[in-house]
Amino acid sequence: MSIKGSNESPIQRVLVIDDNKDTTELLEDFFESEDIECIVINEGRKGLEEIRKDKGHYDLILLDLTIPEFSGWDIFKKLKEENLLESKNIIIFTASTKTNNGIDELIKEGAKYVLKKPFSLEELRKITKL
Amino acid sequence: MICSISLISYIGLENFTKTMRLEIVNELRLIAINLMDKLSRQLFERTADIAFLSTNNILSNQNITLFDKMNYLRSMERAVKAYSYISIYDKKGLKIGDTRNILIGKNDSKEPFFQQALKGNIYHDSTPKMSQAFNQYVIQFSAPIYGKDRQIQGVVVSGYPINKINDIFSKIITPQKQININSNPIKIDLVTNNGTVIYSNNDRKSILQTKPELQKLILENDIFDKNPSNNELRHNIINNEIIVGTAQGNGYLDYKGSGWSLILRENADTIFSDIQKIANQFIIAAAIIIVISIIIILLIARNISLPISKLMEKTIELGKGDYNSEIKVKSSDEIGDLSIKFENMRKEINKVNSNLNKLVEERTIELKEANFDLKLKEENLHKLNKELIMADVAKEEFMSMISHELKTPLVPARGYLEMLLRQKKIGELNEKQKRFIDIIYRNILKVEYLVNDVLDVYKLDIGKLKLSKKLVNIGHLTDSIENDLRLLTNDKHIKLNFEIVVDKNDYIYCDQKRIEQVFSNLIKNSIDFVPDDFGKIDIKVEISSDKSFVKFSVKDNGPGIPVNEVDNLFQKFYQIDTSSTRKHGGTGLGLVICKGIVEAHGGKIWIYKEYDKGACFIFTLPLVNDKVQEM
Repeated sequence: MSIKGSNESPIQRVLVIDDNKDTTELLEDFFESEDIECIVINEGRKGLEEIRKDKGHYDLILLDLTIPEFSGWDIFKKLKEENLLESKNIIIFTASTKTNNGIDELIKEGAKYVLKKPFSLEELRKITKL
Repeated sequence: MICSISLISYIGLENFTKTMRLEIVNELRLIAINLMDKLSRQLFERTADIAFLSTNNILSNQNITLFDKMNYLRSMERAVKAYSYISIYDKKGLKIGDTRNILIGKNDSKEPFFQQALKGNIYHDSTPKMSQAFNQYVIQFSAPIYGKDRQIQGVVVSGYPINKINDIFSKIITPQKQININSNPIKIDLVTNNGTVIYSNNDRKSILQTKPELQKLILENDIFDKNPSNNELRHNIINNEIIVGTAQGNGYLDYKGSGWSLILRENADTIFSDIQKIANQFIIAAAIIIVISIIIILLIARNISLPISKLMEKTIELGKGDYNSEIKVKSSDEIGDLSIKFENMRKEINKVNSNLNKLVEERTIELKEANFDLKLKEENLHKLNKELIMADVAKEEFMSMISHELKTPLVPARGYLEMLLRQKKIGELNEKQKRFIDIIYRNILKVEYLVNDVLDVYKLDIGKLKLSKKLVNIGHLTDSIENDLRLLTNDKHIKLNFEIVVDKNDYIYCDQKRIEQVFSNLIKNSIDFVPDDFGKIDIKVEISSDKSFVKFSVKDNGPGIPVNEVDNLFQKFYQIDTSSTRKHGGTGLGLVICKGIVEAHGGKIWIYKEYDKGACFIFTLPLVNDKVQEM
């Protein structure tokens, strides 16, 4: 796994897109405790806009698949269409009952990692090598 | 039929008239032959007379004077009433005597009659010669005169004037002679082949005149029969006359020569009109017969074919399915019988048919009802199917939602507990606080397991447990399992024994994560029951002797499973009531999930009942053979 920052330079900025405020708050607190800037967006469209605007500021993008109206799936598909996946370090988390196949597909499409809910912070720490 | 009768009649008639004509021609010819025969005999008799004279003692007797001899001959001539003359020649051809006393001393030694007689032949001319003495045509007969020493002494000659032949001929031909069917006399001409008419009953003036047209007629029309032995009828019809000829020629007046022709002529019209009359009568008779035959045939046909055609009509109606119209054919013969029997048959069929129709109607109604029911059922089934599909979709949505809704809250709960326990920045917790949080954390994990297990069981139930199968080397699989299980049992005083007897080339086609799940479920199960201080779990992996499957067994030294509980173990939420020994706090779904996963892989899972020292779970998975591997 090669997540930007883990090998070259430490992770400085993280974007979290999730509608669940408790989860985002946890992630904010977690990253804060690690001295990492964490920006949270609770809506899908806004999240997509933020990623589009991003010019390499975010070292990590955490994307929840299940967001009302404009879901993480939709964002992922748009990014794929716009060829923006290559340059991004996207970690997807999902509670989806989708099979391993689904996860494999996401990895194949360009996601760096898929975290299955409920994930532990330990797991997140491991994959981001914090 | 009428046509053929007419044709046969016509042919018969044709043959009849043809035969009749031939008969007539034949008869004409017979007449001709007969006449010629009679003439020939008359003339030949004359030759015989000469021969008799020549051998008679009188003519060769030297003692009788020539004068006496001539007188004798004269008297003899009168006796036979032959109006001719007789001459006597000496050996040198000099005429020495003549019954008319003329031309005595004339030398005829060069004449054929003299030459022939000297050779000993009896001779006559085939063609008449002009006699200056008689001033008319004469046929000469000659014979040698023999002496006592049988030497030829001289020649005797008799002349027969043609007009005398004419006399003979007139006598031969009976003027009243008629052909049966003909009332007119036949025209008869006797002609020498150089055209001299010797006799004619129709043109008296032509007698003894030479007529080239007759000669032409003989030669050109082939009535001159050169070879009578062919026995052919030679005839011709010229200028509406049937001409029949027969000829006599060289030497004697027999039928072999070429000197004479007898021509018979008959008017063809007359003769054939008679035949025609007969033929016409025949035609009329035939026509009457035909008409009568036709009438008879029609009468018979009426009696036979009318009933038959009526019967046939009825049969066709019957064939078309009209069993109601009665069959009545008036006929006293077999056809009548047949129609009566046919009518009986029709009645029977009608009876059977009406019964059948009734039956068919009943069955049709039943079928319609059944069909209606079926349609209703089909509609219901269709509806049900739709509902089931919808229910399926709903179930999946429900599952997805439950999954999300149950798992999402666990994330912050678990995360914050982790932070409390590990983040030193937050501040140290006292031991009590730590213990409480630890308990909360453990229970959150239980909920997490439960949620996962419930979802798995649910997926199994609705058949949505999807497997991501790959070819997995058994060695790799067991290594991975060994690592996982050691992690699970690390902090417990449990002895794990692995006995793995596999080939490096053995593969199974499976979802590795799920198989690992089966193992971890079984181990978790065992961990719950083995004694705390000397727990022991034996794991054995072996390949079946026929290399068709791989067998996994998990054996522990726990209390074992009561025999009466064995069958219930694979049921949902079933747990052996040993609450006191529960340590791990299983969901009661683990074995159900194991069973589902193993069976989804085409394997079997069971509990080894005979093992009484603890529990022994066994499951098998099919081994992939080499060929599939290569694929």
